[in-house]
Amino acid sequence: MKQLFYSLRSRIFLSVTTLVILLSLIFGWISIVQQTSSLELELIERGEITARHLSYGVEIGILTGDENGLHALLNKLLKEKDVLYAGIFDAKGQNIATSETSKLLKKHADTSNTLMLKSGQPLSELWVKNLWKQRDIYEFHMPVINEIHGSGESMLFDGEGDMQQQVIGYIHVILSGASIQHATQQTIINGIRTFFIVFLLALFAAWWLARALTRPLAYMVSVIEKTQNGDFNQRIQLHGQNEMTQLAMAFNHMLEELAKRNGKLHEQQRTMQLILDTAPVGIWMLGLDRRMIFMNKAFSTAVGISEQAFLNAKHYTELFPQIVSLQATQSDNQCFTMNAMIHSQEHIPCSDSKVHIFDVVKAPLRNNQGDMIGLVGIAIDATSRLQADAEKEQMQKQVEHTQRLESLGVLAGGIAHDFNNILTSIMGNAAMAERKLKGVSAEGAAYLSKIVLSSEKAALLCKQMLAYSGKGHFIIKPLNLSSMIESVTSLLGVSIHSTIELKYHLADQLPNIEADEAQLQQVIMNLVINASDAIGEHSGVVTITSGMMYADTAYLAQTVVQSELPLNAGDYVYLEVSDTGCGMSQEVQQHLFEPFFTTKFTGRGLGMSAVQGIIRGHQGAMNVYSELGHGTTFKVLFPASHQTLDHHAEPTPLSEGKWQPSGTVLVVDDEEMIREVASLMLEDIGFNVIEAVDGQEGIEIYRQYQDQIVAVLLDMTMPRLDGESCFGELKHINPDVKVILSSGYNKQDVTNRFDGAGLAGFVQKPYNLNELEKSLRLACTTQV
Amino acid sequence: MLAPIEAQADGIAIISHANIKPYQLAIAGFREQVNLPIHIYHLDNRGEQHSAVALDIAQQQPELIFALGKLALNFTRHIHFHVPVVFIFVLHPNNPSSGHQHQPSEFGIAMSIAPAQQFKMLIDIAPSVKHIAVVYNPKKSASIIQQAKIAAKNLGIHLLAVPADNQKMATSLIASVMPKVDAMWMIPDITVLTSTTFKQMLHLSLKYTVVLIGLAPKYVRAGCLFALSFDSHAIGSQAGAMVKRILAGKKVANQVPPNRVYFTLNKQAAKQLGLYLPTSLLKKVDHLYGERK
Repeated sequence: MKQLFYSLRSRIFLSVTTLVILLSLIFGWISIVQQTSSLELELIERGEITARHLSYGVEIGILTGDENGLHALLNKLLKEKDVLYAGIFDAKGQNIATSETSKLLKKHADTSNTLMLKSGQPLSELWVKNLWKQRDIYEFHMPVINEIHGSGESMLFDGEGDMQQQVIGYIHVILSGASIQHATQQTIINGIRTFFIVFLLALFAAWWLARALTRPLAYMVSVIEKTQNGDFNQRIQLHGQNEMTQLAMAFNHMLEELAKRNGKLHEQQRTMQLILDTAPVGIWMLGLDRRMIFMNKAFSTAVGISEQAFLNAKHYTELFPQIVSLQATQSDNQCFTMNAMIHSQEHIPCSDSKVHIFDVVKAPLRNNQGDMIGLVGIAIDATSRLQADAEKEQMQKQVEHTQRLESLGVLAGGIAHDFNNILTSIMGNAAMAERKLKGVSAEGAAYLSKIVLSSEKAALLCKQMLAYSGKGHFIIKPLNLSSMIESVTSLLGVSIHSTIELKYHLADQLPNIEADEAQLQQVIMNLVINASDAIGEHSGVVTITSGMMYADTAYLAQTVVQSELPLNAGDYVYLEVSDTGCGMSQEVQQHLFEPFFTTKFTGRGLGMSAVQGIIRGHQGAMNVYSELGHGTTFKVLFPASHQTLDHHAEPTPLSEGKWQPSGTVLVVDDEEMIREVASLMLEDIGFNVIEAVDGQEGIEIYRQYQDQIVAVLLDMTMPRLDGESCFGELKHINPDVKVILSSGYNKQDVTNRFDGAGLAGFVQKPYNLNELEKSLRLACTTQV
Repeated sequence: MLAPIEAQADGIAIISHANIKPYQLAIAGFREQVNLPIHIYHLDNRGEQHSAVALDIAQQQPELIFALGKLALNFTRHIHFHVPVVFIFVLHPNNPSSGHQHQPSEFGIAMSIAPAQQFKMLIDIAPSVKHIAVVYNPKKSASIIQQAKIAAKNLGIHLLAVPADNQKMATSLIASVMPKVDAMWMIPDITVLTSTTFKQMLHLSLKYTVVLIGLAPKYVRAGCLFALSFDSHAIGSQAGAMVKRILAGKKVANQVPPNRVYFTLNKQAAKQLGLYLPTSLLKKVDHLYGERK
């Protein structure tokens, strides 16, 4: 009811009705007052006119004393409307003629005397009226003026100064105001009737106006309510050209704009939702009440909690374990308290049942006024990144380690190269001295023999160093691993303690492997000796196993020793050496292949380094299984080869008896001591020797003495012009030139570089006289 | 009677019995014509100063006396100054009831306009008028009535002349004759013409649609149709010219009519009477009343 009272329609209805009633009353009252006043003025004017006419009309009668005429005039006047009484008096106030007096006048008015008589003085004005409204009668007194145009002879002359006025009597007229009262009453009655008609019309008009005004509004309100529910297709259909229609058009235009904006907003929301959902980060918003008001799909999926569950949850504890909730709540509080962006790292259990590490940024959510209304959180799963970082760090360490080892390898190779040069000189000189003292001094020869023996051990050490550095003397050929193991069995038996039992599990049908025989022996020996050392003086078993296996990339990837090049999955021939020894700690395993790392009191720490270098040089792999106290197993894999055993023997030189060394050999080496010892040995063999300090000098000498030079002993590494370039020049000078390369590096490495170039031979530094002679014989007696 | 004083005549004595505006205008007109010393004497109605005035005039010995009004004329007749007298504004100079006879040395200008002239003007303005009434005192206006009857007869209209001895009788007669005629003629007869009778005639003229012929412009202004009258200033000027001729020794008629007639017309009254006023007539009007501005 109250709502109905305060409704616009009711207000308009009441306002218009009240206004019409008030206006009707006001105008009605004004109309009555004006009409009454107008009627009164009209009556007064009529009375004045009547009195004035009467005064003119009775002038002659008074002048001529025609009383009958005056009476007739008054009675005639009495018949006129509202006239109650009329009387005529002479200049002295004596009544000349009087009309009949009505009952009303007898009751209210005294007509016996005029005002003039009461005051005792003649009227000073031309006419006087006296109104007694209380008695509803109106009295009019009028002097009767006689205009005198002169007297006597002046009547005969013209002249304004002669004109005079003289009061010759008075008239007294009384009018009734009853007509005014009657008219006023009639006006009031008519006014009341009119008022009721107007009131009814006003009621209808107010109702119609209120309805006309509010119906479009109500219609618009219904459309607005539909619009509030999101239906922007609603339109207000009003006809006409009034303000309501203009309002409706404006509103429709606004709705169209709203629909467009709403469409854009929805599109933006969808886009934003898509972005938020597909973003690979967690995004959420919290209100000031710490309740979740938004959670994107990515985070919801990541943590395995539905978005609705997030929105329904009152606290993190309903969603996460206690410690996670506490961590999140603390960072929320920090953001709310500081009113600033904060960064944190939170561990959150995810749908994969793992705890992921998230980088979390929480920033204040502010309204247009800058007041904080919540916070927005962004979580990036940093688990993979952190793992990658850790792996990268590990890799970096490994790379650094590898680089360090490679550096050591380079260092070891360089040292071994130089040592080989030195040892070449020592061994050569010792061999020459031994030959000279042979039969002269047995004691001196014995010493020289020890020098040679020590030099050979040093040369072996250099070989291991070169093997570690991957620059050992590799002569690759198809080999059968089981056969190789069997061939070194005798050697193994003397290398291990007698308390150790050697067991063999060798496969019979094994594919060949392409390997350097000497280095493969070295691998077997090193592993078996290490196994033996691990068992020590205790009794134990060393088991040597060979076989073939298929290794996939995953298996190959987790091996501890790999080639520099990625290994392909496929068939591998393996060598497995197991012992029941003390096993290795993790720390020992980490440093297992580091050169000069040893757990042995007398060890040089190059055995496993050499093994690693040899395996890498053969594109193999190795795994280590060791457990402290439970022994160790080394498993070495070599790619299986489809080549059969190479039964083609190397070109065999002529027998010693058939070869007569003669001619000149050009020795090209930058090391003077090499040149000297080589020259001594060559001369001892039976050659003339010409020395050149580098490749350039060697070419010049060869060009000069090529007719005499039967072979060239060419070093690889030299200043100005190295061995490879020098070889090319020599071949250019004489395609049939016989060049024997001399190098501390492995033959394979060297000969690969001269493959097909017509190299006559290769002698590995340090070489002794026999090896040099063998090489020369082979070169000189064999057609390349 | 004062004895003639033997002394040298000097100037003109003007005798007036009232200092009214017509007299003032006449004296002004007189002065414009006469270039002589003038002495003006006023007579009171009671005659208390008449002797002193007579003595003073006798001592002055004017060459001529210019009398304005009947009282002044009778004063000269009573004293006998033995000098020519020129009078104006005397209605009936030869009326025997005044006790004085006309003197040979009296010269004057008549106050009345010839009835024929008035009737002719009446016919010019209102050609339908056939009956004219006039109330008069036979003791004073018999001669003018006689002239009027002749003039009316000549113009083919009927003049109803009703004699009345006093105002009351005149009032009664006016009331009885006016409903019967087309026009009512006012004549310079102060027995009949009073303020009351004029009002009565005016009232009845409106009541019965009777043309009322006025005596002076003020009556035309009050409601009469028209009036032919003399102009006071012109009368004075005419008298001055007469004086100059007398003093020059030339022969002058004893009584002459006014040289100039003044025509006034009430257009409003003509309208109420249903009269058409032609332009030629309006051109003759000296002063037109009742014309809306």
